Amino acid sequence: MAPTRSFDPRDPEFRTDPHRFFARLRREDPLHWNPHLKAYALTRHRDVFQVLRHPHFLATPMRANTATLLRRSGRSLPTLDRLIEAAVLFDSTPGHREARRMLVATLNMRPLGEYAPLMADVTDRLIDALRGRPSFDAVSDFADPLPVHVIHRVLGIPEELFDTLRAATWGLDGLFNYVKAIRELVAWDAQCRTGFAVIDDLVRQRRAAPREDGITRMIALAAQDGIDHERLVARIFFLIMVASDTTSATIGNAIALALATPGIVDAITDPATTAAAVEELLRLEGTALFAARYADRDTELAGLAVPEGTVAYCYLAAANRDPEAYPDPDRFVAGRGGPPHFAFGDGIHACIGASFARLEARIALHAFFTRLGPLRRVEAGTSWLPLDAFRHLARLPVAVD
Amino acid sequence: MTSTPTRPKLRTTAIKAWLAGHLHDVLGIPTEQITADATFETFGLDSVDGVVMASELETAFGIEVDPALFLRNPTLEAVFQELQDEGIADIEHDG
Ligand code: HEM
Repeated sequence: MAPTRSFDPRDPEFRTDPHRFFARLRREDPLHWNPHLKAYALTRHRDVFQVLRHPHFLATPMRANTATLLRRSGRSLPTLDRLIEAAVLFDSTPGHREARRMLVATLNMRPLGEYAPLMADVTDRLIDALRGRPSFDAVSDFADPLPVHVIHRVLGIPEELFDTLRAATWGLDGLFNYVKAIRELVAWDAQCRTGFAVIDDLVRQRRAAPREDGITRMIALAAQDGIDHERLVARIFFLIMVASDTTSATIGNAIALALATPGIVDAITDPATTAAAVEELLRLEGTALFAARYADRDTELAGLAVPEGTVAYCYLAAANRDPEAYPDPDRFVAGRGGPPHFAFGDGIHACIGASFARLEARIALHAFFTRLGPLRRVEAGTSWLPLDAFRHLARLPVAVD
Repeated sequence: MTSTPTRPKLRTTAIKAWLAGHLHDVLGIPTEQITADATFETFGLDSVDGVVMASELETAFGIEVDPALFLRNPTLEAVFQELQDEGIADIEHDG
């Protein structure tokens, strides 16, 4: 393996097995200055915890960064800018609290448990289509569509628009990449235009004829908060985006790990341990690799004085396997205890969809492994989507025994 | 990264001339300073400049490159090497 000093987080070798690199970094250089990122890379549980709760480490100013890049290349992409403005993840303004509260209130339109039948229905339909097939792709036939269908149905998107919207959100998680090509930003802007047009139309329809659905709910909440139509549309689109690929990737990663490691399938299929198994899978292979933060003033980072502007990548996936927090960290131990993991982040930007996603993953994985019979992988090695911030399988062909 | 199916032939003099023009226009750097072994750092480029340059290179030569091409490679020489190694272009060293 290359020496720690030259650790390049965009290296394909790193993408294949980041955990090996993380183990070494954590041991040898836990407060690692990375020349490629021009940022610190944090891999210890306690350091990640501290930075995510630090009052002077704020979310990446994605809006300003993107505007600077586009300005210097002589462009402006107003639709993409609307999406980034709506993305509370990148919002460190006082408006963040209110926007976040609105998204929480949207999900809380029902008690969590009332989403279970919808999630089970989406799951069962996908599984019904797979039954009897000798082989299929667990990613594109199951893990990828499932959360997309769930969030679409929660919001009340009609089924005939699923594919158009899915194409519009696909790949937007590349926004979190360390470096983005201008051609990618241009393509994402076009996708946002398509997506916003679909949502815009639906919002108008629901205003005219309210329903019992998420969009109608968000219209009411936006009215309370004084959010204009354009911002509301962007916010709905953002919610779809942020609920989709994260959950898809998590379910795909869980299936892959379960098929590779004895004991996991049993833990998932036993209803007494499903929840604990999902929790442990989130810790071991949650999709979010990092949360990025920057210092808004001269401050201190894991005991080191750092100047304003310092960027810190909190590697969630690394902290989740810190042996100091989780003894024998690479082992799957359902119900192992220990401190909360960071699969959903922490601090003021902690995931608002965590309970929702957990419920969804439990329902999906339990049904997948009970209803389809014994499965095995038919391809050696894994191919990951070329994303910097998320571990998301490109495919996972499986055969039914 | 995806390589372009029809790999264009690119002359090093053409790329050098393009880069010299670009850096002159954007940062006012005298063209004679742009040589294959001059490090980009010495021109005071920041990471945003690097990404913009990668995009301009794509447009100028009809290729698709990693947006970090000029961030990861310290010199034009190294850029030529990467374009060749990644199968993005056939680089003809013509001076
Ligand atoms: C297993 C699936 C999921 C994973 C692994 C996940 C992961 C994360 C992580 C790590 C963050 C924090 C990022 C940071 O601090 O930079 C986050 C934030 C967020 N997540 Fe999730 N998420 C998942 C599902 C969902 C779902 C289903 C929703 C909505 C229905 C959702 C909505 C959000 C929102 C709105 C934020 C931003 C919160 C803020 O900035 O205040 N997520 N998520």
